[in-house]
Amino acid sequence: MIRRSAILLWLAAITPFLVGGGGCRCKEETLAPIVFDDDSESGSLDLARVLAPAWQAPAISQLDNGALMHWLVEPGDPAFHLRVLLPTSVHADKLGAAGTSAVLEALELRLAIRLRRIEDAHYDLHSRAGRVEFAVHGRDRDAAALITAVADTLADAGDPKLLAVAQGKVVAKHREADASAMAAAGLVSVLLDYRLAHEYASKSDLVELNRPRLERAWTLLSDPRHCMVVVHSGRPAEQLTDALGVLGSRWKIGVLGSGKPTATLRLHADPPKQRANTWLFGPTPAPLQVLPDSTDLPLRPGASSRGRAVIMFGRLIPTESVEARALARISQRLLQEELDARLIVAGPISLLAVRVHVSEGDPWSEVLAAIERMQAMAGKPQLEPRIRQAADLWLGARMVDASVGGEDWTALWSESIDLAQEDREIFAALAREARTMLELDPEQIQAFQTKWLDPSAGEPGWVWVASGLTSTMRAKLAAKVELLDM
Amino acid sequence: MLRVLLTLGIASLLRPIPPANPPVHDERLVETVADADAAPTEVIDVVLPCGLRVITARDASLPVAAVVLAIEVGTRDDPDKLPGLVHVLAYQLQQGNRELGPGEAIATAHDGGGLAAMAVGPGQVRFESLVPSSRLDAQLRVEALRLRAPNVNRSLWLKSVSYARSDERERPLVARELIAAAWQDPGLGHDGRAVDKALGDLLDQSVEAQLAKLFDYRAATLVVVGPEDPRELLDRVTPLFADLPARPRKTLAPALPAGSATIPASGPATVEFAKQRGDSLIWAVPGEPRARAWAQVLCGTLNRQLAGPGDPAKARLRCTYADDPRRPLLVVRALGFDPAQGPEPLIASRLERITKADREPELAALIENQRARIFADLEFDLRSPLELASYLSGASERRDAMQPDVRPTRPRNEVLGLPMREQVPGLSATHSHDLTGSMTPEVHSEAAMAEAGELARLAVVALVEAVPRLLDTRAAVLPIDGEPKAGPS
Repeated sequence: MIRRSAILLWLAAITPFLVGGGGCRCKEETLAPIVFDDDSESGSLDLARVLAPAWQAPAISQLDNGALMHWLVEPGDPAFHLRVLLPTSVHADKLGAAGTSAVLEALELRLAIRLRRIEDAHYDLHSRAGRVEFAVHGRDRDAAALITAVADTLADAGDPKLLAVAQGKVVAKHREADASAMAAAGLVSVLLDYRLAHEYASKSDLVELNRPRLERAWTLLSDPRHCMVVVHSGRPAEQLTDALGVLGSRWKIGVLGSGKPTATLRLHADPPKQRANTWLFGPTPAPLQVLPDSTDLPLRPGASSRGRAVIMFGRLIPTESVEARALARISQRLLQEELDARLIVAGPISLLAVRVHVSEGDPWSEVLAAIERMQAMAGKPQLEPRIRQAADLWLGARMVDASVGGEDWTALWSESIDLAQEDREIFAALAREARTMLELDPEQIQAFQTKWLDPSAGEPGWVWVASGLTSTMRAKLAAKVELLDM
Repeated sequence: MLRVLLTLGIASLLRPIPPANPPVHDERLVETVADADAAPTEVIDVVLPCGLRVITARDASLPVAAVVLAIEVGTRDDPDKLPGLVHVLAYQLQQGNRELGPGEAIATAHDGGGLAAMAVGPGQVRFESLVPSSRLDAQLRVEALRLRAPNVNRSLWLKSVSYARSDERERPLVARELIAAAWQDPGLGHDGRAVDKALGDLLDQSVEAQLAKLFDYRAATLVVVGPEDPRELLDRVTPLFADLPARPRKTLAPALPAGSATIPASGPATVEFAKQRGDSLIWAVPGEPRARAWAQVLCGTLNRQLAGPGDPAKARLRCTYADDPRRPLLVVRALGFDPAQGPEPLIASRLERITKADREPELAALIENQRARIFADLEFDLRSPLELASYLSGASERRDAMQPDVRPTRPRNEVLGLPMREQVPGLSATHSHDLTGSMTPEVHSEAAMAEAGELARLAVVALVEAVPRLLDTRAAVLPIDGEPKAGPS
């Protein structure tokens, strides 16, 4: 089971890297039919080459409660996987990380008990860009029991008493985040124009949750009209009509409505209304935003100041085409060979973050060195073997990881949603990304890097955030750049 | 079985290159295989002219391929004076040869986003990898080169010793001395992970000689599971070994306990060992998939079997199965037995009832239920390519493997040794489906009841046929306390 921190949403997706049908009375008639792209215009896909699962287009339906369901069938597969995708970006202004943490804890409390009774069943929780997900895994023969367990959990985990218990548990488990996690929360909130509390739950945020706020968090997060269910099973949905009927009827929040009709509309966050128009240096330099509590964090025994202070800079990159997404990914993989750089792709926009540890000696030169390395990389074309190796490693590891993780197609489908602009693209998104990545040439990559990965030239949109700075560091940095307290 | 995730960090960036010697096309093998119809439920199981056994199977769920090279040598083969030798030699086989750089075997998997692992057990050493299918040829090349004149020099040997020494030690479920007694094999009595000091002083020539003696393709099985048809997978393997001289496969003794051809007239044999309660019997389970699967059926049955009419009031049995591809064990502990008689009569009576379960419909139904459960468990556990390949590497060798006209395809479930029973002629569709391993269906009519009874009876017959020694206490050992007890002062 993956342990959850109180840092959620976009941040939670970035932090792990930085710190280490049928007769279910489904409303098919309300959904516009989707014809999935299968890349037939460019000939049949060589799956071995592009490294994508050999899946068929899913059956798409809508449950009675408004949840959208994509059902993937792998005939004869003895395993069953069900993933519920809960968007956090729909009500980003009302939904905080604290409430989300408590709700997920409540779901976990109920689910753990129910799955204990089903052989080989287990669950896990994930955070992706703009959403949280929980998945249950077990045997296909137990599919009905697993669906019912999820239905019952989504029906009763919003009980006020349970939410209060969950809140207590989250508070008890809470540990203040380190500088890296704080800086990541700060960077994401600045770039996406969110409140910091949307990305990071402090202990006081968690303690201050009262019953109405907990209930509102539950309602906002678990509203099936905004959610999606993805299933990977050995049999079609028609064979599990009754269980799906239970899922559609027990899981509801008392509000009628269908919600948005497609997965990408439901799950892709709206781009921020205001985008930064700054570089790190140059005519309109971005102020270095310093997190308010950074100087108050106690130094852990034995911790060096180097590991404590972090400056994180980053930007949003428009990734509305397959090529743009592939370029962003390969550029990040190449950059990561030299710097701690991460990229989150969420359909039309992606977020790039670079982390630099700074020390009291000369914090400015450490940041400068990282930026100069990025500029140097953008200044010369990469060698083809290096590009190919970076692509092979990324694409291969994705499939190997999926195989070791139990061959759960729902996780890959979820990733595909992030790689698609529209629903019709989801089916072939992994394959297209892979093929495009393998066909990129050094000049394309250099042009992309020059435009998007040069923090002092190219396109504006760069911001930076500092966390864990000591007063000495602040003084030294203030001599070089404008500091702005967040 | 020890499984060691390799963390050797020597990442060679050398691109895979074709073998130095051009492969020889083996017409006979290709023709035979091309004729065969490898249905999805079949695997290919052949012996190449060089003596290497190759098993290929299909798993198309994801574009990944598992490659396992299993060599029938283990820590039981450690020389008396050099305990831990096989474990260190296994590490030495990661150090490359004339064509592979040190660590390149691992780097080949890692560079493509794959993983590489090594498992060293008492009777088998495995090199396992899971790679994206686009990198399969590179990984096959590694396994085709691994055993060919491995690099041997002082510095690499000391590294191997160091890697082996830093592996975590494992604590077996059953004491090693008891494993050795059950298997009547003294070679199992030591900790194969303990690295003897003398190993560091071994001369290069000795290392070379030991590698040549113990690690031979003629005693190895290469298993490949990937998204392609098994025939296509075999076609990719065959040329890589075509330049090796044609040699007969080594005759491998089946993983059976010594003297297993007969059951001793008296028994069970007692073994003195410290801190034993004298309440358990231990059996050596034949190290092949079918016996391993049926041993689990038996174990599940013993744990759920109701008391017989002659059993003491609180008598119970607790069975534990300790799995290993080649040296598995079955441990049955008796509770509530008559101390004057010991545990053997109770265990023997329960086993005898199982042997004659065709007279006890409920017990026969329980056996069938356990058979179906283990069948389903194995199918579920072996759903991913790496698990499947690893399990297939323990498959029993065909006796007719070397004959030229032998059909290369075999039913997948047979090779996996899944606990199956015979088909019943004229069985209804529902029950026919049941033969594939689903749980015993609900019985609705007299005819169905009769069919269910017949299925249960067949399960009993199959169990008795598969693991006869496990049903006889005379084939077991009884550990008793060997510590001298302090007498009254």
